[in-house]
Amino acid sequence: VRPRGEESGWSDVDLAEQALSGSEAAWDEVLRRHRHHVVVALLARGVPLEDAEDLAQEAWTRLIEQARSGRLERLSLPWLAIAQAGWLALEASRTKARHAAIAGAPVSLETHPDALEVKDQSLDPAEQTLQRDRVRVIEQELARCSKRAQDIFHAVYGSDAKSHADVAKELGMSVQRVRQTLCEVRARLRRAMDERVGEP
Amino acid sequence: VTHLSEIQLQAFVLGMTGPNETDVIREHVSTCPTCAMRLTEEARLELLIQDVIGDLNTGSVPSTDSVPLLKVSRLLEWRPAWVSAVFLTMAVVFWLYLARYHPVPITAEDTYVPDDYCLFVGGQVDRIGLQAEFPDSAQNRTDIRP
Repeated sequence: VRPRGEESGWSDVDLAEQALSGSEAAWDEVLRRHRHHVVVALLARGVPLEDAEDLAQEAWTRLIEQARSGRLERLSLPWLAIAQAGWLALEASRTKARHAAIAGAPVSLETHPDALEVKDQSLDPAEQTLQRDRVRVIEQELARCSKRAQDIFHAVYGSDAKSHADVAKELGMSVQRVRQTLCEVRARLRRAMDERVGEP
Repeated sequence: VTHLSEIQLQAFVLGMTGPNETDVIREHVSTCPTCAMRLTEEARLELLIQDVIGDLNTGSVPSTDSVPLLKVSRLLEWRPAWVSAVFLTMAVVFWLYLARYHPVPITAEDTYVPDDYCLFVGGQVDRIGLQAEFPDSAQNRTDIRP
């Protein structure tokens, strides 16, 4: 796995256009840039790492096939791949539950397809409250970080997300320093969430 | 049992691990439910940060400290429309002013009335040949022909 978003000169929009027009090089760049995002999105949904990697691969394969057969008009990166992978994860979960039911094994809440759907749509009011709390804590904690740390976070996670190397060049620091800052601030956010989420 | 460090988990989620380190992590989480759960939590934190930063950048989560009711920058975005509206309003006002205080002068040519028409006081027009019945206004009859 390579670091997220290394330099290529193409924006995601340009890259999507090139990929849809059939450029193999563009698809290689799409995969290099976004494959890991899809895996992380699946991990966040509770899919085990090995399954997440397989499902992500399957999602990209399907997208490429759809593009080649002309059935894909737009390619929103990486959200279309994440949605496709999420759908595949749901299907895999349902299949597993069906097989378990046929074999007579008890179906746990974790593997029940409906449980996954509820989690995806965030319809649970308690979960929504928790999520709002997490967002609040992250906003507050980020606001307390140094200006430099905030600049790094906005550059890496912003709408025109840049690679660590690009951010380092832009802010005049080493790539190692950018990554160290990311890890430090993430650890700080994690601690804040553990301590303060759920507080009034 | 030696668990994965927080740095290792973060590095993986951030896509900063090389092939060898990725293999170590993959192998470990396949047999360690604790680290698998920690990895899931790191991935959730990653998505949460992406959401928060994305919302902050697009302005969908405005700061609650002070939210101005009317932003000058937003108004400036509509500058062409404002300029057009001001010019249009000025043009209408100027036209109304001209119409009110400077009526179009009536010349003899403008007031030409054909021979078989005449104008009654009160603005009622009648054709002479039809002998309209306006007995009371007969004496008020005005011919405005030059």
